[in-house]
Amino acid sequence: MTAEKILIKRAKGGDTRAFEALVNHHARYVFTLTNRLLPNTQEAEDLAQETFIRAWQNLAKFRGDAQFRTWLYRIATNLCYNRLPNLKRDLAAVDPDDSVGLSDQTPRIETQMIRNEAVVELSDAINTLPESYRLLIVLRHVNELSYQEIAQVTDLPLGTVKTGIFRARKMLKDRLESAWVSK
Amino acid sequence: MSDFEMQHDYNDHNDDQLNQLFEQLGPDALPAGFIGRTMTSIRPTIEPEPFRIQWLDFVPAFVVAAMGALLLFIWLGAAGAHTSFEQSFNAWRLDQVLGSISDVQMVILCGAIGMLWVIMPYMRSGSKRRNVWFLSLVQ
Repeated sequence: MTAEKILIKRAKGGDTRAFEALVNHHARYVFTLTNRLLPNTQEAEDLAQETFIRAWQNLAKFRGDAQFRTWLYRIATNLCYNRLPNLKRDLAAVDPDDSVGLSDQTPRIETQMIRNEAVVELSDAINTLPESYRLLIVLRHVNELSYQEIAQVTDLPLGTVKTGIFRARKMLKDRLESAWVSK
Repeated sequence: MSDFEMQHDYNDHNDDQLNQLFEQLGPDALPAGFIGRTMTSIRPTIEPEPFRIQWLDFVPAFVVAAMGALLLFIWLGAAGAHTSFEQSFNAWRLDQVLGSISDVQMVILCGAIGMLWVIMPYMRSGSKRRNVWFLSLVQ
């Protein structure tokens, strides 16, 4: 049994310290998800807190079929759907036809140092994406979920997820290139 | 070039730089005190253990009552023999009881009873619950 499973089991028994350890482990990723979608930090914090409160209240329903983090992101995403009514509609409107050719491999780690400035530009570029693409990009590249996991979290068809991420990445690349060319 | 080829070309060659940037990006920093505030919100949702009286809760009271009865018996005996109901009733009078023991004995006995009253609830080691009702009597 992994350390996380032990913590979940203890938390299910009412151990708040065990749940606090889980919160500690996942808080940054849940907050990033809400922070990238919502217009201000306070709202993002409130929604991230609400995610953990609901997780605690519904912990008995978590059976362990999926990963705990996937379950958490699903709660957070559903809260975002409630808060941003257009989000799910926009995601569902993504045409899955041009999703071929995407690899599900985790991006490889490069040792090459990249300037912090470029990372800041990428972060800014993500914030300019439509909400639906922002959600997909954060789940894929910050929270490092697989396409299948993203489909579970967002309750979308796999093809829609792949297409959405493909388009979001293309949009990001175009924006970064135009930013670098203009310098 | 077809859409399929264009996408492959995009993935295989042009995404490396973007992937490297994503590797550097990482999650956002948490607001200060986020974990503490979250856990504060969670902890009050824990329902308190329902109040139940167990027979063990009455043990301290039984012990104190038994000691009191014993002491009273000794005091009554010291107050003198009594053969009638009236004599027995009179023997309960406080001035007679107090007159039969010294001040030092009185202080020691009251102190012992008081200490037992306070300590007994804590003698139930291993129980998460204290005899709250019992403590409230002495506080």
